[in-house]
Amino acid sequence: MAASPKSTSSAKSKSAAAKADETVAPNPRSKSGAKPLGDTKGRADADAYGEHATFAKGKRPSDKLKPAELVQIYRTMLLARRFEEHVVDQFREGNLPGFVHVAIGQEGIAAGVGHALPEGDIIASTHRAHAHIIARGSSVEALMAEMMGRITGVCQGKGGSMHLADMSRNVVGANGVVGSGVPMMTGVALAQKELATGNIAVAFYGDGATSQGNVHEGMNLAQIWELPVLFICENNRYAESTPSWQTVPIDDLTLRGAAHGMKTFAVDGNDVLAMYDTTTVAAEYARSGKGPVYIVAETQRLSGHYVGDAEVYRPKGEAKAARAGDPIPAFRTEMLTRKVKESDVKAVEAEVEETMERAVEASLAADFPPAEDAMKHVYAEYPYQGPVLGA
Amino acid sequence: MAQMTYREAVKTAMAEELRRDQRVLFMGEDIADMGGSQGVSKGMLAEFGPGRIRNTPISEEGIVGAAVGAAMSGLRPIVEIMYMDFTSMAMDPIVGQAAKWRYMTGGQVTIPVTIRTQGGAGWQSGSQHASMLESWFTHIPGLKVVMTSQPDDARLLLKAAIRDENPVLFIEHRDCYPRKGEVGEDPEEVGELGVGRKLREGTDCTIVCWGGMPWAALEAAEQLEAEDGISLEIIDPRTLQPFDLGIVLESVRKTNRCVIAHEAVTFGGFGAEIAALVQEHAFDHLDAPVLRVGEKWAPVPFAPVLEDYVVPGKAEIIEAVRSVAYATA
Repeated sequence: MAASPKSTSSAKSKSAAAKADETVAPNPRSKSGAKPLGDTKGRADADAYGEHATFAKGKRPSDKLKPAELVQIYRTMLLARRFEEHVVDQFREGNLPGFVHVAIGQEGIAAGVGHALPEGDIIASTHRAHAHIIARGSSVEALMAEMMGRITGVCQGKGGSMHLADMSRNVVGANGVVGSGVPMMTGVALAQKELATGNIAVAFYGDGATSQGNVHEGMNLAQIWELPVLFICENNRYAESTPSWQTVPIDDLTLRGAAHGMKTFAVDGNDVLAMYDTTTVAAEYARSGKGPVYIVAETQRLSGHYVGDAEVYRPKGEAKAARAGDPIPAFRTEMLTRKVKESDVKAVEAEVEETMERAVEASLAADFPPAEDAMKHVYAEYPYQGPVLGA
Repeated sequence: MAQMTYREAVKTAMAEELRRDQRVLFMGEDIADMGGSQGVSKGMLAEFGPGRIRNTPISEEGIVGAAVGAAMSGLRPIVEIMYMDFTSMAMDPIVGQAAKWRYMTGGQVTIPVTIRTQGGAGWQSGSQHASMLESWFTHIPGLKVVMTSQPDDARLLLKAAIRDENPVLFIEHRDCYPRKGEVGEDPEEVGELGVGRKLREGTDCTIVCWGGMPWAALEAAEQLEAEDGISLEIIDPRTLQPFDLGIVLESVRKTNRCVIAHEAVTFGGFGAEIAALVQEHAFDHLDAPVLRVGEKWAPVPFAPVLEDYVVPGKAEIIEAVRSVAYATA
């Protein structure tokens, strides 16, 4: 059998190969030469599966990005990272309540998509939403304040981390229910088509969501109606705590899009420019009326499912090893080979620090909403006369 | 005014709103060529075309989810869920998404979606095609629920639901479809959600009933009048959320007796809420306990003899009214 030693090793048999690389979760199903799920090298795995967007030399959309634009993409990634690191700190200090899921390590996808789309395009996110929304230009102060339950929050304290939405940036929202953003964005895309806006819809979801029925119902509808929507799967190989190989019987997730007859792409989501290029091509396809596109972006979670997750389910050393694939330092190095001045990079790094410190400070100083605001926004009418009339 | 069936009134309401507002579209399973499982939308495809009368795959969760997304971005979709039992397949988009999205976003979006569905026992359709489940939805802040029995109300309130800025569940009882009545023809005329209707004037007992039950109550009232000399006042609340308690209290304060009848299972049904409200607001006016009429604690069975046993109708209404009027032996 030509399978790699990694894929044949099991947790019980401590073979030499398994001992050699304890960072890899065993995948008993992998029969092919394909790399097992749980491998820590996002880029290499991405190359193993599905169709990739290909370009002639010098014709990648990202080749046209000017140094200042590259710095902006870097800024987005860094801002998302620093935002979430501050979120973790504030959570630990007790200033930020609730259920918080960070996307540390996945910023390449958010920034690549965020910068590839014009402002009119509409996104929906998942429970791991901060980076996606920051990448669409939402105010980090309004987002931070929301997560602290303040009246200055983007949802006036009604949503919190799992329900962040910013219609001023065409972010219809994060979603606390896995997969539910997919059919919803199919509907958003239907509206774009019917109202001839020229905009497209984008639904983010994770590898875990590809096992949800709502995802496939939404995708099927989008395909039969040829709607302008991108379905972007962030494949971090964990559905909450459960590794993909335990719940998904195929290694190549693009097959789940292909099953709907959909145009699919695989991409290394930790390569922000590859993400930018693939999204650009996919958006062009969807916008031209050819129908939806399904993208699988390989990535790694550098932290737990939620803030405070001890990650007992993760093979020893995996998260640490994944740091080698951290998209942010990788892109920093890449930028410098593309005529970006290091002084400009340092300037933006300092600015991000300052922006985040200000955002946290302002959020901590902001008021909580008055308690009776709890009755606002239940219905479009306020005050709502129901539920009981005429008593 | 025109004579038409409840079925035609529902279609008329949809057609009028589709003509009036280009943002309105209708989607559901088998609704286009076939005209829906109950024949409600027959002929609509020919008038409005496949872009606005959208046949969908059998994916309740997907189509309601898509309707919610479309509603938050400028369209005003009407969705048909073929049987009320199948709303269980769409609970997340209805309850988890549509009802909460405006709230969770701090009022940044509105969700003007109308979800039409139908159900009801008496057709030997078995346990999975006959349930009345309105109490699932009256329990959800953010939803409005309409359940009206008369053809003219069906037209006016469905139009109101479509024009409403909130998600509205519009529940049709199968028994109502063939019922005929005078229905208005002014396309600009529209009803008001949250206003009940007195279907029959009476003095001795109030019955609050909805879905198909008002039709049974009308027949029961004739029999009670003739056999017992009991004068029954019939209130159809028409919308359950918001609920017009005022019209109920006014009636109960006059008759001093109250029966609530719905086809849904009695225990934990919406009738329990009305009973609680009546005792809370009109306790001193009551001469008898508030009674409820509803399905027995079983799924709706198939065989006619079993179905009749479980599902309430005229006989159960008569029994309950006699009981509160102390007219039983």
